[in-house]
Amino acid sequence: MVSLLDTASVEGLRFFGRISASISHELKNTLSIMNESAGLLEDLALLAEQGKALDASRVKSLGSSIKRQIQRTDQIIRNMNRFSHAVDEPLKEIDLVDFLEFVLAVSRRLTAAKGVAITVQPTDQPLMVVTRPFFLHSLIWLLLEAGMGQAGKSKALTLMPEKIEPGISIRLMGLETLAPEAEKSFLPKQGEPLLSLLEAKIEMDLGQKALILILPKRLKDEPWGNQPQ
Amino acid sequence: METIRVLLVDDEEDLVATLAERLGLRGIDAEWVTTCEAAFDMLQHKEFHVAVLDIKLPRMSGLTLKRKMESIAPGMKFIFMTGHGSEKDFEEGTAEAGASYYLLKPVDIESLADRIREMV
Repeated sequence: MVSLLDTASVEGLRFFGRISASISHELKNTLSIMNESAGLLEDLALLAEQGKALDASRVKSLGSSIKRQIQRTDQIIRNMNRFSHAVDEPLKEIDLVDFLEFVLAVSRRLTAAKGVAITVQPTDQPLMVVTRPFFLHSLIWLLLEAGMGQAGKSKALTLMPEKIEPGISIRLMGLETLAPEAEKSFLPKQGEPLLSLLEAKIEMDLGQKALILILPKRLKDEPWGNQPQ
Repeated sequence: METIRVLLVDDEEDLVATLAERLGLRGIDAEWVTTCEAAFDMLQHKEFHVAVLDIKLPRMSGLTLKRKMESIAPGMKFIFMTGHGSEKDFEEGTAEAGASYYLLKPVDIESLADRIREMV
């Protein structure tokens, strides 16, 4: 007997690894920039020792570059910390817009690699959802991956969270090549562990060329139980 | 002796701009771009001995970029840079693509300059 949670956890672990690897690459980039900026400062100091005039403005701009990269690194590490702690609370109330912004911040490098710009449309009122944040993050990433494959030439997608009755929907807008048969090939299937754990479903709006993730507003805090596969 | 000319391609502008300046201080004439499209455009106008490419670029991998650059500038040599954690993994991944050298980020400038000089 393999529980639904066990199966979803394997997918979750795979996702965790992917995001962690992406974050480590981002950190390598900021370290590289700081390494080169510090190295150039050394080069300039060496030249100054040999009698070449030191360009104060260049030194200042290199200092600013290092400070920018320190701030960037700090933000990456904050996001990494928040991402890592997402598994601490199996069920939690989240502000959906803030959560979606966070999802995009953590995966910015992966979306940039596809050349796709994704934004979140803010809502007038906070949209609070009681859900399993880590698994929701995994599921939204699957949705984004599917959407990026359908983004077409514009390479610009928008996540639109909204309240519906009786739950919450997240529309991924801006797709260009959505076709009915696509549902079979690139979307998480109904009954898959992540969808089941989150009591979620994914629909397509062919008219607006949107993928729609539908969630309950409040998941019940129930044992996740063993469900035969 | 002819000046060595290098094209650096990485989407991190602060990185390639500084690397180019540091290579310049070591007698290597380096220019930089941050997109694949700009790299192709640069190759239409100038000749380079070596290209130093990030393995992960937006919209196109460094390996694909290398193949396309080779078709424009046959004979150009290539060095890959990456943030990958393991040299072994990276070596295996790039050997097939014919990279002469690979360097892990953060790059050691003297190693990079030495390797460029060896290739030309």
